[in-house]
Amino acid sequence: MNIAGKKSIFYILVAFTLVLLVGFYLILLCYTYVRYNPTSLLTLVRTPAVSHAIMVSVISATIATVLALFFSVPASYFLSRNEFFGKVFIDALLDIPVFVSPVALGALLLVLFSSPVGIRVQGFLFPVVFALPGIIVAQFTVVTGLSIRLLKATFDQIPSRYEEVARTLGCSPFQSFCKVTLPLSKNGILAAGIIAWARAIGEFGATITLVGAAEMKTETIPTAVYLSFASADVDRALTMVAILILTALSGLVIIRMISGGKVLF
Amino acid sequence: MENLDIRLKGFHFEGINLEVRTGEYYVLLGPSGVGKTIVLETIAGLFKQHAGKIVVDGKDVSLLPPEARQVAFVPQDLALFPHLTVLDNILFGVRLRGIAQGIYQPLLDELIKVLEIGHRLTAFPRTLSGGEKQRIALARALITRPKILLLDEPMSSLDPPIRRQLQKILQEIHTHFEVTILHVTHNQEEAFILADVISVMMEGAIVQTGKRNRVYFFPETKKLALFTGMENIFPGTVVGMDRERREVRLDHAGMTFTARYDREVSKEHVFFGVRAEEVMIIKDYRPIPESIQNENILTVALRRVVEKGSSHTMEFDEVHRHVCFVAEVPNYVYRKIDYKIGQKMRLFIRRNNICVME
Repeated sequence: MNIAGKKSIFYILVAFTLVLLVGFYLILLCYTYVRYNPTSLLTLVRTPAVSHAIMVSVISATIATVLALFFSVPASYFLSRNEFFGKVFIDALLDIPVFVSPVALGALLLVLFSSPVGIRVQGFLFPVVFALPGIIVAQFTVVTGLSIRLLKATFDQIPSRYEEVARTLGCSPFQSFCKVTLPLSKNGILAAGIIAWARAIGEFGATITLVGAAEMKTETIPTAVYLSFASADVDRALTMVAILILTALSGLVIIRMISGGKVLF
Repeated sequence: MENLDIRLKGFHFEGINLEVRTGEYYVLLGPSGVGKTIVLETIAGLFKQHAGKIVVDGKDVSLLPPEARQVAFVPQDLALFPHLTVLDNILFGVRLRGIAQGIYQPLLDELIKVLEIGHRLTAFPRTLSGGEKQRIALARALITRPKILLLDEPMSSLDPPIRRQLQKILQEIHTHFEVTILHVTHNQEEAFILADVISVMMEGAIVQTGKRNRVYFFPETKKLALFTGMENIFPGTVVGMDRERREVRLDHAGMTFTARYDREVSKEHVFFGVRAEEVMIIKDYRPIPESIQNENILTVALRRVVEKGSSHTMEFDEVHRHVCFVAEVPNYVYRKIDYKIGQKMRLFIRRNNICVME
């Protein structure tokens, strides 16, 4: 067999794995929703418990994402532009939320906020354990590590030479960041924000461990999925799953559209 | 720059002194990787010097941030802001400083005219050619009216025709806008074409500074002579010195050469050399004119000819001692006279063109 023939067999094998994976996910989605009555989705969305869970998820994920970006944009910029002693350790530490199970993170948060210091912090600021703000804390803890990772990759791709030239043209460090680096990293920041938001809205482990799942109080979409299955309410559970899937899909499509397919993941 | 001490990125320079006079075109010449860019970036304020002083227009800027130095820097990769149009790139500095349009507009119009960029003002950098990018980067730097313009290898990525075009543009902006320029390059031809003054940097130190002709034709060390492309370099022994006639006599392989004496030669064993384009050929049947009888005349045989496009490089062997000499001959001269391999002829080297190196 000639070289071209070998090459084509290789490509067929590679393509076959892709077909298998796409098929698997399509069957997973289609098989469930072929048997599911879509009209019941709208009916269920209007029920107070479900709409409350959606509202809690959307608002908390949005606040958690804004907070995550507020901290991770400057932090990841600093990490990208500086070499210092202990950087490897700090890098690894900030990766912990990405690699450690969210349930474990939730347990750590619960222990921290149940300690005397944590109780004092809650008294001074706002309640966290088994309270609505706790959802934001849990989501923020999980998604910040992820957004730092994505933003650092974005800043790494922007040569610091642009900032240096901007400095010689009269910019202060802050001006060069605002006028050059931020506009150039706009797509990366937007992508990180959307991913963080999608991850926050789907967050389950840390949230349920820290704030529980009280209906009409601290129930989010993922906890509603869990509780619905636990109480054998499959229609309600699948409605919630559909909302999560639509949210994630729309986020990913938007990212690919704004970045012209050249995203970091 | 006074006694500048730079220690970073694995480089360690000590006691670097550079003095660029107002309105001068100054070239810092040196082989790649010697650290020229770091010197430029230190002047721009992008790196902090370990010790020493940087003075711009009489003001010590050593501790000032880049934005307060009134120094414009055009890096090798140009770093045109990709998210801005050409016009926004050019006006970046003046808008930032809040300079009114009425003040910068006349200079902008002049820059657009001189650099011929009027048709590209609304384009984005990704659509520009290499030469256009260079001209935009120059306009962006010049519109801020810097006290000194720092250019880092501005022609390294350009094709030869565009490079020649940019050389002309640099000469024009230097004279037209009366701007002081410090230009870093590894290309000795580029340095020679553009510079008023050349400093040569080798192995972390400035090894020679002088007017371009001085550096090009009379390098002070053998290493520098090799770097500037001097082909005829020989070890020699000083056998005599006539201070009145400003002559030094040198011996190499039993041949005696006379060179111009322009500074004290402290060593007995030195190197001496002459550029190939300064070696002249006299055909063997022609008499030696009386006026040059006291100059260096050698009897040689043609060994090899290398055609270089615009000129011919001819290699000769001295007939008795087989020492090789190289001469660079323009095409029209080479074509006019019919040279044959092995043909005997004489080489004439003016004493004023021989440089003595330590």
